[in-house]
Amino acid sequence: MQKFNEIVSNKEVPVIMVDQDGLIQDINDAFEAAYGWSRETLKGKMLTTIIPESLRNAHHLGFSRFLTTERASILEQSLDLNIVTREGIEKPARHLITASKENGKWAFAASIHDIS
Amino acid sequence: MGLKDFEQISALRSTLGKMEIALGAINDAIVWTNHKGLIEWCNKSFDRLVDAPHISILGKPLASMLPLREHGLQLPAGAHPILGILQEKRDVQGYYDFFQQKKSLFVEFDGKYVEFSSGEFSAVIVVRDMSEARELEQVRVQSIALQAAANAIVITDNRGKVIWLNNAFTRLTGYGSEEMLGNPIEILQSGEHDDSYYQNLWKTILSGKVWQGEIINRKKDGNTYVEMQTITPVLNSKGDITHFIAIKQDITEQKKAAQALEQAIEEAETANRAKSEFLANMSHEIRTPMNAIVGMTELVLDTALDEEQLDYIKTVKSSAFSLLNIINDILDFSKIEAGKLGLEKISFNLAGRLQNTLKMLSLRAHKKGVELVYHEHPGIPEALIGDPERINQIIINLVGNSLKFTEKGGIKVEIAVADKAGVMSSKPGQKVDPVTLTFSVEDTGIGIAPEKQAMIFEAFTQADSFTTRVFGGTGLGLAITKHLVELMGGKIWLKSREGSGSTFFFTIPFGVERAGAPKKIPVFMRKLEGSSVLVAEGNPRSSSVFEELFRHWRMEPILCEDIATALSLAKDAAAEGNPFDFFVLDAMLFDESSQAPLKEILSEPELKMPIIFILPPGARTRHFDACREAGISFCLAKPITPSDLMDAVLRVHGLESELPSKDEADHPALSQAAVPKKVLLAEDNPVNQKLAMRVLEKMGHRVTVVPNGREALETIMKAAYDVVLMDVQMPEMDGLTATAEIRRAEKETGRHVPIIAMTANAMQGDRERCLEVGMDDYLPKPIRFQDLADVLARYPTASKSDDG
Repeated sequence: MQKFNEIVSNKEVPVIMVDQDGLIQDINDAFEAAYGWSRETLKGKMLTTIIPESLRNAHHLGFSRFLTTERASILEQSLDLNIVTREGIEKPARHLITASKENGKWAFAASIHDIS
Repeated sequence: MGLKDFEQISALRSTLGKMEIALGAINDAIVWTNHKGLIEWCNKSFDRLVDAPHISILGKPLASMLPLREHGLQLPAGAHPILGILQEKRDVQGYYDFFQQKKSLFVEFDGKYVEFSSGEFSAVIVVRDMSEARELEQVRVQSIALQAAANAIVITDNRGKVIWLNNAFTRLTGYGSEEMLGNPIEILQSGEHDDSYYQNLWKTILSGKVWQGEIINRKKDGNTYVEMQTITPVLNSKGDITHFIAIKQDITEQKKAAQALEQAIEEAETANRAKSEFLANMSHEIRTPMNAIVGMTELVLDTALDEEQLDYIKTVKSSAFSLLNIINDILDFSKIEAGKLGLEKISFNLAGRLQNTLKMLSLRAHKKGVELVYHEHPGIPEALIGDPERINQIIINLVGNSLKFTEKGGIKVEIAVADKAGVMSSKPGQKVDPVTLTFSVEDTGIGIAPEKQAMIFEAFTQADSFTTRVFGGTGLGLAITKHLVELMGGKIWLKSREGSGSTFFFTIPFGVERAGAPKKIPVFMRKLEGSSVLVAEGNPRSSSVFEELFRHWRMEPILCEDIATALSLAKDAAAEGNPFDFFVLDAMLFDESSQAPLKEILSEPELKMPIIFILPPGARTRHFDACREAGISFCLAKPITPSDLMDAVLRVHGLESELPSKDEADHPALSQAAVPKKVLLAEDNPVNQKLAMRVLEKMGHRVTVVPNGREALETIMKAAYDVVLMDVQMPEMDGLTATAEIRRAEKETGRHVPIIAMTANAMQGDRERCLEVGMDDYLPKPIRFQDLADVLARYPTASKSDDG
């Protein structure tokens, strides 16, 4: 919870927020700057928009499993995964994903450092 | 998207999530790749299999996440089965080894080709760990093998409780699994071993070592059996013993067979020893009366007999000697068999010892029309150390054997140094050096077929039974000879060609007394160096002996084969003003045609030279006299020995004063002794008493006879005697005890009467025992008159005679 809030309020690194349905809620300025996406373009899009194609199936399955079991396997740890930029280029990035449940609904926030 | 859409997505997510969890619960690893072979998804079992975080697996090529090996070799990049599925669009199944950091697994790769309606395709693979299954299969097969093994196998826990056994165990012990499982292995104990045996066994296996040994165990039916058992402890990863594996082999029959064999050998040896002892005893028993027969016969021969009687008695004598020889052979053989034949180690002169033997053999050869030649090569040490009597015996046996099978031609006895390294290396303080001599006896007899040469040295064999009938003999001679040679550390062998003769060779190592190292040419012979010798000798063997001897003495021999040639050679030499110094002439060349040339040599003044005449073996005094009358200076009878020839050569040159003093000439057996002696004879056998008494009286001695040691002791206490002849085995008190008593009594008087042992028990060690108790000399029976006379002559006659 604490980590979640920390990430949400962090303005230094690129941050993205996603809701329980896997729809992007918001990104910060740093995210826009890093990956070329605009807030307007991404808001309400499926998270898979920024996930490379080869990981999309795995994302759906993993995301579904978390919601079904509520047992995290990839949260709150540093993960190096590619991210797709506005230009459609895959860039290596360091992810730290957190989750928070409010009013029976899960919300996710992730910081995504560009490490290319 | 509307709210409803989200609800449907949520529902699908729930299904997907459950599916994901369900697939994760499966033990088999499941992995799904896209058409490029990159991992789309895998279940938790796959994460565990490749031992990597789930997220790090995703998107990676399967070929690198799941490297496979086949037959111990890494599959090359293009051979991974995933490529088969995707490239050939088909299912692929196979077994591989999979290594990850922590373990090696044997896996089944079950890959399916999956095509979607969109036209996309991918691969779904189940990777199943088959390691355990394979191990189980191996264990199952090994278990069958153990079950089928011929050896009994039993496995116990670390306290000896049985947990497994095979069929052979049941066959061996009679106990099945139902009786043994869970029970202590000690059920098998027979009580034949004491506790320490098992304690030792347990100590060994509890220390983690393998124990192997024989154990007598008891079967279910109560019978015992012997097994060879190997117990191997089984250790777990921590090094603790968890089990023992015992492998047993029934060796009861082997043990029985070995025991039976041992017993059979022992029985055979006992029987053989008994036989040999029986033979030795029998021979001994026979020798005693034979001794009397020979002795009495000699006494009869010494009385007045007419021609006919003389002939009969001579036949009796020679038959008795033949019989005695056979018995001596048997006795020797039995002693060898019984391991009782010992050897002497005394210093002797070989040529001197062989001289008489060779003379006797020459005589026998000559009678048969065969010539015996003796050839002693230079370099044989003057004083050897060994057993001269046994060497004589070997020569007699071999020459006797050759004589038996040789009808014409000759026999040559040769002796040479085989190895004189020891002689050369004599150092001060080192008393005895070894020298090995090679003896050979060559004949021109019937020869021995190759296939029979090997068995000729075996006892009771002649080349065939026919020869025994024709040539006679015990068939023991060569067997004894071989034993004697080997007993002395030598070797014997033969070369033979059927029809053209045989040569027997043997080697004997001797000690050499340093003082008498190799025979040197005596100083006086130096005076004769360069002398020229004319040798007329018809026998090429003899003539080569002459040549070698003369050359050895640095003379110059000229050889020819008849007297006519000799004459012309002598004439030539005289004409050149360089006449021969002397002439050696073989009497065998002496015939009608040779008379004229011989006369010329003898009579012509410028040809006249000393002649050494070589007579055939067995020449009598009258022959010698006849020669002298004929003007021939010196005569020698064959076989020629180096010392005989040297004597003659020195005499021819008037140098006899240079001769070393020789033993006095052989005296006739029953001649009167120079000084009569007072002799006490202790002998229990009446026949021997009578014989010895007669012989001694004929020698001129005065004899008192007593029948045992006790009376001998009493008698010697009362009166003084010059010599005591003491039988060893006598009733009441034996000769050894009597001697010891006499010597003890003499400690007070300070006297010392010579005591000479007489015993038919001619075994090695007898002499030592006799000398140990204080006897002075020893005469083995049968006693030869000459030996008796010699021994008596050695002891002085007491100056004071006080017989009553």
